[in-house]
Amino acid sequence: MATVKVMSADRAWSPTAGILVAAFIGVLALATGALAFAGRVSPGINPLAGLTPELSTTVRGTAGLLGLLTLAATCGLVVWRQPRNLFGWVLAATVMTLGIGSVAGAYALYGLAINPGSLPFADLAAYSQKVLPDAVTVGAIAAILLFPDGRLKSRRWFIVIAAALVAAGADVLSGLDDPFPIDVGIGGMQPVPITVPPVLWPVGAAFGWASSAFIWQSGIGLVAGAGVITRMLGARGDTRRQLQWFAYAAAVYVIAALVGTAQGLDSLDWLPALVYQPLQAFARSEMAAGIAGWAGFADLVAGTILVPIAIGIAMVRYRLYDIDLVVNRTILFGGLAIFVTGAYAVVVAGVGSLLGQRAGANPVLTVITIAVVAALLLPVRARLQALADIAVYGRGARPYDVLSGFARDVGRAAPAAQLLPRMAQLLREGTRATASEVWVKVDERLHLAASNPAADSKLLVVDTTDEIAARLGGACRLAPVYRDSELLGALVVVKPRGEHLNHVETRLLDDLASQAGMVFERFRLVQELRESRARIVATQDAERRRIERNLHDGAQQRFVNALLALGMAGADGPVEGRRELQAQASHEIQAGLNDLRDLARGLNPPLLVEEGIAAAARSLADRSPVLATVDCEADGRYPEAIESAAYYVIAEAMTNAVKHSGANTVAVRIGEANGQLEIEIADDGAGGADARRGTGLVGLYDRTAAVGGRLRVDSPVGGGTKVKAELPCA
Amino acid sequence: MRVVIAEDSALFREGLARLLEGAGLEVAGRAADGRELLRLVEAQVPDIVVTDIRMPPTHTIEGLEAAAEIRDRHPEMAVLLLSQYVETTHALKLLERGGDGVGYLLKDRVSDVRQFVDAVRRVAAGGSVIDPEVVSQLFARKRRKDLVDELTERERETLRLMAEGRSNSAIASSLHMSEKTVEGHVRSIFSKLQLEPAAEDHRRVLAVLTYLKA
Repeated sequence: MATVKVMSADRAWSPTAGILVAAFIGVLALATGALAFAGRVSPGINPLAGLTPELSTTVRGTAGLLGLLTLAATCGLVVWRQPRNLFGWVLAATVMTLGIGSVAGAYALYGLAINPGSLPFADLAAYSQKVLPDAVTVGAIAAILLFPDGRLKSRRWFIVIAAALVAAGADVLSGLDDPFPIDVGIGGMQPVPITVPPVLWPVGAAFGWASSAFIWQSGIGLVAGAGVITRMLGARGDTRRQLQWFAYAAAVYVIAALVGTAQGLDSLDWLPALVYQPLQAFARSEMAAGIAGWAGFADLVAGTILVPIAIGIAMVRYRLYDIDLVVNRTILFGGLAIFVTGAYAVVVAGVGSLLGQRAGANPVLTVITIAVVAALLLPVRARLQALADIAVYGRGARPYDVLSGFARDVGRAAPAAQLLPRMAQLLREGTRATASEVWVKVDERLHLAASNPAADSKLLVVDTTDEIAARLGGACRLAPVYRDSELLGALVVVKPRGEHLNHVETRLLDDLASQAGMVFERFRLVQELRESRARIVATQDAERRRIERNLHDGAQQRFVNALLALGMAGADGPVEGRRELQAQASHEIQAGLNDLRDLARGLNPPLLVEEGIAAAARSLADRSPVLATVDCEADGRYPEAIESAAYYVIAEAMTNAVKHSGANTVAVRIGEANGQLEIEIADDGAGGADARRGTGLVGLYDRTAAVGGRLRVDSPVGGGTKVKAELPCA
Repeated sequence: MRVVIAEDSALFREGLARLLEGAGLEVAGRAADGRELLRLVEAQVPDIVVTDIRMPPTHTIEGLEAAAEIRDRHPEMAVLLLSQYVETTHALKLLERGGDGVGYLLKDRVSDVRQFVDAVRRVAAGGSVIDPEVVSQLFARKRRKDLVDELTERERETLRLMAEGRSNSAIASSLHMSEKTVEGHVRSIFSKLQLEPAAEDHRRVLAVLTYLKA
């Protein structure tokens, strides 16, 4: 039901609402940016390692500005595309609150700390910082729980939102007794030199017991995160991918936040001294400060840029299925970054502290670090890649292994009959499909050559790729296989309901299809050769039967008749009757001889052997029951097999013209061009000859193909039949 | 004696009828295929059927099948099969159902009208006639060591001629020996093939069968 609702919401787009939301948040972002840059340097800011305070402020301000603009775009997009989705509106409201808070914070900072007294109501703006962050927290938790379709997983989850509201209220009230100064800005980082009105202090004091409410909020946030994860594990198809994007961005955000607490290692004094000392040294080092600073910055970027982008992708469903690739790369590069940093920390800070030197002061240690990192980079990278692949693709085949594995099999020149099932198997594993099929074009039709899981009947044959798609329904994706722009077949994968191929899997399918040409061609040639051989054997058998029948009913019977007549003539009887019987015997023997002669000529026309194809063709024409003309430009002699094939083509085509097409005239043309003996037989009969049906024409194809020639049959219904053979004779 | 003829070649069928009528037999029916033959046999109940083996519609062994059916329905009715070639398999199939009143000849044999008519009469009288071609094919066949191997060269030749349906006197003239000698060979054959004393004709057939099946 939820899916249906989202689908209908999809269609009812609301550009106006989206633009208004995005514009409103955008204006807030720009206002924040303008105020932040007006001051350039914020008091109390922790500069990023390696940067001047001015530059740090600029970088942070820029990131904050970009973050808000990204959020603006995301909210606008979500409201635009899914105006009926509650999630979009909650998100938009939350981000608007955040935007107002940002403006107010920057306003207060500028008006109270950087340029005191320059702005009116700066103190009110500062007071707002006591309320707005809590409102944002509640909104964020609600949004998390409503993602992605605007519905709670169940009514019980409303309790979580209620708890968030209570905690937020407690936090606001308990914060009213804040001593000087008030902290403002994102994350409450920056102090301004005022305090809340003293009349409110007693209220704050009364709620002093709730001063740890922000910890409750963290707990509630964790519960909401767990909600997303359980929802993700229970979801399928698109919804699962949407949740995965969201979870991914959130995970990066949380990890960055954890790394940002690097300096907190200092407090782990309950650890054994041997472990604690290096940790303490690290925590107090400049590097730890640097890591914390940059991690905090990464946290800011992840929270305000990465999360909104992930939400945008999830809601708009653009490249929804590339989440696998993104997670894969994140694990790889994130892991590498941790490895390099860790190596530096161990060698420079750890070893350095044991040596009693100030971290980073010893160039030798730096060189050692570089050497260690350089030596281990490749193996670590390989391990990380394997880890990332397993995390994303499971322990089955990975897309790139599939390709290289297949290339190896092709290289080993395994028989096509084995390669195709292997291909189907790799295809299915590599794309994590429920089924895969390999279709190869043989004799102008597509045959199901292999499938995984193996199909019961292998005798499926269709005419077009559309039929394949229609057979499997909408859940399949088909990649045609071409070679020199000729369709050789297709690869097909079937995904589970509601799933799609991600970018890597799509590329795998396409890459495999582009590599499959050679194998397909090989399979097709082998298959066609096998079929052609079978046809030739069948034709030979049929021919033998025909000859036997011919002999039995023809010459043999004639001679037996003659024997009978002679026997009766030899018996007692009147002389007149005897003469008549002898004449009859003589006639029968003559007829039997004629039968034998015709049969022998049909088997191996002596004229062809003695005089060549032109004379043999003229002889055929002379004996034809219809008007047959022979136009011969090539009167030379050719290899025996070529002449024989040419004669066969002419004889068979003429027979067909007489027997099947009801032609009145047949025109035979024999010519030679470009090392090819060209034979053309055209009749004025009914046409409509089909090469696929009727053994005669197929026999001609096989016969010409056997000598490396080509045969074309042009036979429009009602337009006569033209058979043209090109036989290599050079 | 009444004959029904089955043969798909009209010329040969008419010639055959003329030949048999010339020899004083009554041609009671002429069929062009197996089905028609069976119908005529039921209608005419002849003494002997002379049929081609290969006839429409399948041009394989219609005549042989019709013969088997006729023998099933009328065990006393004689059947002479004609063919353009001989198959020992066909001959054995024919004889396995009992060798009396069956014959199997090449069509070529019509050239000796007297001998052919004689064969027809002998089959009609309950004898068995197997074409010499079949016999020589069987002789050429490598055979098992068994009763037949006990026979002497002379006895084997005698048996071969017996298999062709020849009488003792015919065998005697053919092998250039006295009829008495032939009779002695025949007795010796019967005892070596362990055939119990019975009507001579019957024992002759059994001897031939033993020989053919060996």
